Amino acid sequence: MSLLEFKKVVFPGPLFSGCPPFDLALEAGECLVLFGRAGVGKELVLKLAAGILAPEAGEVLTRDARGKGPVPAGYISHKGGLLNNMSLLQNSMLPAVFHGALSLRAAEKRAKAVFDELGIAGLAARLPSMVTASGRMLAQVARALVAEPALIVADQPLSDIDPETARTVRRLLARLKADGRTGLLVSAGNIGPFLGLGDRFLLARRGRLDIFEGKAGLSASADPEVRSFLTEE
Amino acid sequence: MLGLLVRLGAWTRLSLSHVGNLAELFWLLAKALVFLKRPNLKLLFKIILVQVRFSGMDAIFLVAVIATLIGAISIMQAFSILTSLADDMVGTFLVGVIVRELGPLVTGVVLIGRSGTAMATEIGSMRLNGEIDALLAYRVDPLAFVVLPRVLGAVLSMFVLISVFDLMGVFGGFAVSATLTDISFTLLQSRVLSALSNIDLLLFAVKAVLFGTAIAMLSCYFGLQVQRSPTELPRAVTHAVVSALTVLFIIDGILAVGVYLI
Repeated sequence: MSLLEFKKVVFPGPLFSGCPPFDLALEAGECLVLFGRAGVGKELVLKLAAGILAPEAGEVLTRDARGKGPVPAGYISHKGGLLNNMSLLQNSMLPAVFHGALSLRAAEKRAKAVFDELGIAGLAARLPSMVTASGRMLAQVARALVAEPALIVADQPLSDIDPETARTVRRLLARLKADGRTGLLVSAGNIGPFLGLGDRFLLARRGRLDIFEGKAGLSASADPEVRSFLTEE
Repeated sequence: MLGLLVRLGAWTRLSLSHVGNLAELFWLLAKALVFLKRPNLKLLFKIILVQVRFSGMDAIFLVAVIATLIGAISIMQAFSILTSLADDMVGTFLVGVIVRELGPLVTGVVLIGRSGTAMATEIGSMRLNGEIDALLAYRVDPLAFVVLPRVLGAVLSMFVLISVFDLMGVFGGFAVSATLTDISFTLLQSRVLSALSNIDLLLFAVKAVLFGTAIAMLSCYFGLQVQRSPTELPRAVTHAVVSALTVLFIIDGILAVGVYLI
């Protein structure tokens, strides 16, 4: 059973208006990297996958194959993604507590352990507006680690953060993938850092979505747009 | 003429759709409050405290200054217009003007200016920054943690701020009365207390709840209307302020008529 399935999905809005109904399946332990130029609709694909938007036609299904159930999908956004009226620690506890996956005390204990591991224990009590973009990104990763969703959707998780934090985030995403229970759908403006992580690559462009199998499939492609992304790297 | 009617019709339709959406929002908030699990309520309580600190505690000094001045000015005007204002009427005047009317009303205006604008801007920014999207992805009800704590925080803040306003307003009135007349503080205090009725206490609570709820809900509602661009933020804030002020005065008018008829 796939963690995420797009079944004959017709995308809302004009960005993929010429695109035929789209099918996709993402399995546990798999990482799909979505890339493309700015403004081609990467965020739209992510929002459909995360259940934030509904397709115009077709179905987007998310399932927790582990049967743990309460938090089917998590979202990491380069724009912020944390509530400003809660501390970073409370933000990271919220989904697990809301769904009853953990008691308040257990969630706090786990969140503190994750913050320690990420080296942001000192930021735990701060509000998101009081920390840098890197701190906010790490807190979002912490939220995903505490909630343990089956599917993690990450919108450009390495942009706007310092190189060291980017390495940490990438390492944690790799760890989540390696545990074999979590599926990752990651969008990237620059695919370089994800070449080793991605099992498949999805190129978004006006009216089209093309899948490439692994780094090898990407390297073998003569598509000028793919080449330009690889050359940039 | 036809154009005017068309515009009036469009405005009416838009207003009714806002009223419908707000009624739905109220229903969803009530449902969220009732069905939230216990650990969530504890988390919610912590967020409400943050909101009360911003909307209530941080505004105490401002409200105290405004209240003292309004109390002093009102009683000064009363003495200058009603030259025969008897000492025993000062208490009734302060309760009628400050406690019953100006306290909740001016506090409401302060709450709109300080917190309503902040709420609309914050929630609009949250929409733009994907904060609400992240909650939706985690299947966490955004209303429970974004709107509900602001509404409950605003109601609690109104209780705090109206109390401060009433105390300081009456104190301002006392100060002027004591200066202009021979009346003592003790006598004035007893006059005010004897002028206070159960209706005033009931009105205090009703206005705190209704004003706080209306201001926070309207501010959050217009903040949630922001969709794509930061340029929508100022418009959302303007809508929030204008509608909150309008509703504030309408509710106050209805309550005033109701009390008069009783």
